[in-house]
Amino acid sequence: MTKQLFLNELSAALHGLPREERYRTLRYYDELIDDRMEDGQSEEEAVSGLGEPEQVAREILGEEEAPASTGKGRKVWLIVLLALGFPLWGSLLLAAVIVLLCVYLCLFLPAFVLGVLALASLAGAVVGVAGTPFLILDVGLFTGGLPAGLFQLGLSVALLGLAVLSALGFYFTGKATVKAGRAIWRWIRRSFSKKGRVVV
Amino acid sequence: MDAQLKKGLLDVCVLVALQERDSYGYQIIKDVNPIVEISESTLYPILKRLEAGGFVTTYSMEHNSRLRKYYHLTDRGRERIGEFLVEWQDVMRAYRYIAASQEGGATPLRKDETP
Repeated sequence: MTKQLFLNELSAALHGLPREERYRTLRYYDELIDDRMEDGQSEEEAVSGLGEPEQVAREILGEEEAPASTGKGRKVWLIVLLALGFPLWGSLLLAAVIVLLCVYLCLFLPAFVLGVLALASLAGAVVGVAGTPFLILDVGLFTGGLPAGLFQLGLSVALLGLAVLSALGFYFTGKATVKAGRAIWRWIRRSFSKKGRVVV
Repeated sequence: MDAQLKKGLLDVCVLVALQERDSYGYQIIKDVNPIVEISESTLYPILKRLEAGGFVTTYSMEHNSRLRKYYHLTDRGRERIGEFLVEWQDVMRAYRYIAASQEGGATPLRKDETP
């Protein structure tokens, strides 16, 4: 096997490693083969003395997987840093949560206003229509007669119209609000799970 | 030899091989191999570990119009050799105790005695 073939096969077998690490490994073996040849070995001897590329790769990858303990150490450090940094990231997190609540509040506000307006208009219309006969007949507390009664009836009908319009508005803005709320929630969850993956 | 034991010994043997002068992969193998068997694939992770631990530093130098990576022993590496010798006094005491038991008769050194 030639040096180039050995290095090619080794590179292919090490494809799981980060690029830089693979490059360093290949340079190491490249140098060793050159030094062996300089020491009087033929290219064939120098390469075969290193073993099969797959075997070499297995040994290197086996060593790579070993440092699980350092990973654990890094996790401990992460926890320590998180605890120490709490005054900083804690307040930032609080601010983020409050901003989020504000966004949701603003989002629900138009639908809320329209809904209240629809209910109030409806109530006004009902009371107005119900009160009209009393006004026309001029009984009890209500003093006005026919003109005032008709005026109130007209107002009540106008209120009913407003109620219908508001209800329609409430329906559409409500639908849009729920949709937007879900979209924002999905976006938050997605960005958090992304961050989670980086940490672990 | 026990793999874990060999690993620990090889780390220090490589440091010792760099004590007199800076060296490179192939030379280190030639120096260490007569003492403890070492292959190219064994040396690579050792060098990586020693560099990561600050026991050696590396630099590249041209040799026959190609680059060769040299390893240099740091003060921390020298300290590590000293630490190894201290640690192994206990091991050697245990060794002598075990060896003496096979020969029979010889009394082993106690812990407070110095050899």
